[in-house]
Amino acid sequence: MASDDRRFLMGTLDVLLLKTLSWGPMHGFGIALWLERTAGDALRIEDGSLYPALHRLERKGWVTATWGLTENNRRAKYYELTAAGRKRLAQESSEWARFAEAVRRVLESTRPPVAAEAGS
Amino acid sequence: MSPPADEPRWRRYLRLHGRDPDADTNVELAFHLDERARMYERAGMSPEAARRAAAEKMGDLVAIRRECAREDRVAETRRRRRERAATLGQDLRYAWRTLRKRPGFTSVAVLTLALGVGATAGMFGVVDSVLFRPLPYPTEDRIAVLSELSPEGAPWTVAPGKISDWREQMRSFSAFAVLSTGSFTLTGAGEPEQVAGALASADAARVFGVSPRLGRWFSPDEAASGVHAVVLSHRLWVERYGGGRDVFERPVILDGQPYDVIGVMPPGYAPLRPADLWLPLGPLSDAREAHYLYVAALLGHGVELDEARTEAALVADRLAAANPDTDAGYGIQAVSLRQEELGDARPAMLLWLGAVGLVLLIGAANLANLLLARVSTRLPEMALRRSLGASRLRIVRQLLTENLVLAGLAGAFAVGIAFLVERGIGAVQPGTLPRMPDSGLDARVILVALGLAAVAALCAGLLPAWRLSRRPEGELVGGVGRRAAAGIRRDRLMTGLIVGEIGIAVMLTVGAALLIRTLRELQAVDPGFETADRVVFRVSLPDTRYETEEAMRSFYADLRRAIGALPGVRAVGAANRIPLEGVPWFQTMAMADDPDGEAPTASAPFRVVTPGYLEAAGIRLLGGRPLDERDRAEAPPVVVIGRGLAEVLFPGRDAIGRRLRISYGDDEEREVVGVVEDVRQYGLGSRATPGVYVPVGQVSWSSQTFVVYTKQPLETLAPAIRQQVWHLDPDLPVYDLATVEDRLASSLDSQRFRMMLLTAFAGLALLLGIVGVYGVLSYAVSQRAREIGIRLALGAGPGRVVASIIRWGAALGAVGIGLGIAGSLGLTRLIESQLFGVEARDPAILTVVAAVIALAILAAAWIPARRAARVDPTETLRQE
Repeated sequence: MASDDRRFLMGTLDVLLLKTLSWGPMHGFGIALWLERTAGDALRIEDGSLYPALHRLERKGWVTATWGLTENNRRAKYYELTAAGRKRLAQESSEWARFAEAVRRVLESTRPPVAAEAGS
Repeated sequence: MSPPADEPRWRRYLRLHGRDPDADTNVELAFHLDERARMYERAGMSPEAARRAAAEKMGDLVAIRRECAREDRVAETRRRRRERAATLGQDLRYAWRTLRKRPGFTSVAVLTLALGVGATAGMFGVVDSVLFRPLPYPTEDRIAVLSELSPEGAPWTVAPGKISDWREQMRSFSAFAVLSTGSFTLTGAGEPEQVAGALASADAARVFGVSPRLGRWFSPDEAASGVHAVVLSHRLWVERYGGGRDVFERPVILDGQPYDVIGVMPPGYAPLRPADLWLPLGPLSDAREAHYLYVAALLGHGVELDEARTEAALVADRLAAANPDTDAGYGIQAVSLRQEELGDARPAMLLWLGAVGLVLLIGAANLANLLLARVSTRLPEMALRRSLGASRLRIVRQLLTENLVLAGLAGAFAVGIAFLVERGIGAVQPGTLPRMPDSGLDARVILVALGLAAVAALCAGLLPAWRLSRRPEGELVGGVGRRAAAGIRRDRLMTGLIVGEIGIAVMLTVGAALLIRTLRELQAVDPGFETADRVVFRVSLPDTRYETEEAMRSFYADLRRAIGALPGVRAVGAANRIPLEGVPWFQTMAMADDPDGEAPTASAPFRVVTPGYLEAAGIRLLGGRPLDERDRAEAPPVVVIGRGLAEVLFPGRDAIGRRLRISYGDDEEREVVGVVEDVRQYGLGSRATPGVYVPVGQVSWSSQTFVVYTKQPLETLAPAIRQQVWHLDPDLPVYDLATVEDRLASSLDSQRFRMMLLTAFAGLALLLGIVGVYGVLSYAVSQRAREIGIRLALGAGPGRVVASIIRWGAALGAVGIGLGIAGSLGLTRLIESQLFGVEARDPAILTVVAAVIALAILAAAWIPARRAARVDPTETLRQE
């Protein structure tokens, strides 16, 4: 069960990272800040979990990385969405929307089960 | 999902984790921790607390590093793979551009390789499909073909009386297939036809592992009793009976008797002897001296052929001891089915493969020379690349990639050429091979073509590539080319290759010339009978319908009269067998009035002939009279003999009027009434030997070959002949209808086939060799343009320049031709057995071949020599 949770989270993290990067190239810390600011306390993401995910996205060719300088002249690794990554993001977000919509419909439903469904 | 294919190449030089991705990850994580701590400090934390909080927020650093490293490793392997592919692609594109820039070089290189490879692959296809493919019998590996070994050691067909002993005593075999051949007249459903058939035992289908395609094979009872049942071949079923199931509904008429069709065999089934139908063998007699059966046996489970041979030898000894009168001296031979069916073709086919392999060798040598010649032109380019840091391996790889592109192009052409070669060989002479080669391309041939092209191109390219990749030894990049050019002339390797090419071409050409001469000699032979304006055909009278000698005689007399009355027929006659037609029937004879029994005996082909045969066949009468209408049954028995017989039987005396005793039938004495010229009975390559001719009026024979002497072409004569035969007997097939000239020509089929094959190989070899000479010389001229220019500027006449180039060509040619002639003299053993009327060391042929090849080489040298003479001194000097 634990591993299922993890996979679900990993997939979620991927799409969050892709979305974050859709604003433009960012380094890891920038990504962490933006996610904190946007999602608030609802999503508690450990800083450390970002990096394996980013490296994985890089391996899959969805993001590329280049070394650049921050505004206070420190060397940092900037990640940037590739064309493939952009496509992936579109795909994942629509899947997410469908999934969320389905969950919402169930939770907000006002109709009780009909007889057959109730198993009588 | 796939990584971006269009990653710009420069990105590689900005590679992030070049050497140490782990260090990169550490920097990345440290940056994050610092930034996070600074953020906490700005919010008011003490530096230490901020650091601690940042580390806490990060989590387990070791685990993170490990996971990042894992991702990076996978990414790195992929990247490397992609890079290698990109390098290969780059090399391929570069190679393609280089080759396209020199279309002349490229097309010569591709063609020279494609011709050699294509011919070899095509020949391989033929040899493969004839020699190495499985026979159409699933049990092939387990079948032994059994023959008797005569006291002289020759394999003979088997006598029926021995079959039951073999079956009983040879435990190595689990089943025996016994066959005897026959010829049958097939009537009903279309024109009468003479077909080859076989009488077969019940095991003949099981031994060969073949079940009928339709219906069934004979049961043991049927086979032993010889009921009127027949199994048809696939060909006969399709061609004559339309390939339908209704074939079982009506009986087939064989020799006038109805036979029930019980089965149809699959295509390709014709074990031991060609046959189009099989009948039950019937009961076997216990004769031990009449040899006519073909036997194949299935090895028992786990028994090896060698063990069976040992047992066969024991059985033969035992039988010889039990039946000393009949079996003494006879052995039993057991050979594998494959050996029996294909053994004879093997040496010749492997020889062809060797010959065509030589052509491939020439092609590869040519390619090597072309590449070597380019070494010096490309040295500056490679030196530049070396000095820019390309490794030697990288350059060799680049150059070999070029060769692979050449090989790919050549391989594609070669597949086409191989296809043509296979088709050509299949179309030219199917009859001379033990089975038909496949006419289609198959995967093996394509693989062989591509593989050979690749191997040849890589081998040819290895040495030039190695030379090209040498580190430039401090020379100016521009100067390397010219220095190498001076050395080209003394390049032992190039010279050796070209000399070898010429030598091989000479050997193949000598072989081809010998075979051409052989064919000429064979065609010029006087066969002892006339060949022009003669049409022959054969009829066989089934004894079921022609029961008496009288009936046969009157049929033949009627037919002879009817054909003789056709317009334009000058003479007509028939004999039981004419020369070149199958194995003749031999009879032994001796002078009749021989009280001491010391007169010499002789045996000769026994020809039963109608009146008019000797005239129609054009066999020359040397003395006495030919056989004619007088020689009837009631007339005195007479005979006409060949000159050779007269010389042996009656040396120094006139044979006419003497009496002969011939061991045929009742051993009647016959008076010699004529002597005729000897005839080549077995083929144009055989000696002329005498025949012994007796009148059909006095000795009857059921099948006859008619010879018609007429100026009429075959096309008009053939229908007329058929009409006359069917007018007399509508159920009699007319077969083997052909002109004598065609029959003679087809008797030379295998010689002609061999000749054409070797001539084609030799022509190819010669062409490639000359292209090679031309290529090397014209290359040398282009490289030495400067030297030539200087010489011309210093006053050397163009004539001297031309002469110096030609001299070099001549020297190459002389050594190559010398080697080739020496090789031909050394290899006579390989070809001697295939020659007729010419010696393998025939000086005239060797001289002519040497002269022709020398001329060709001089011609090849002439063009570059002329070009050298036209070199403009001022221009070449200005280039410095």
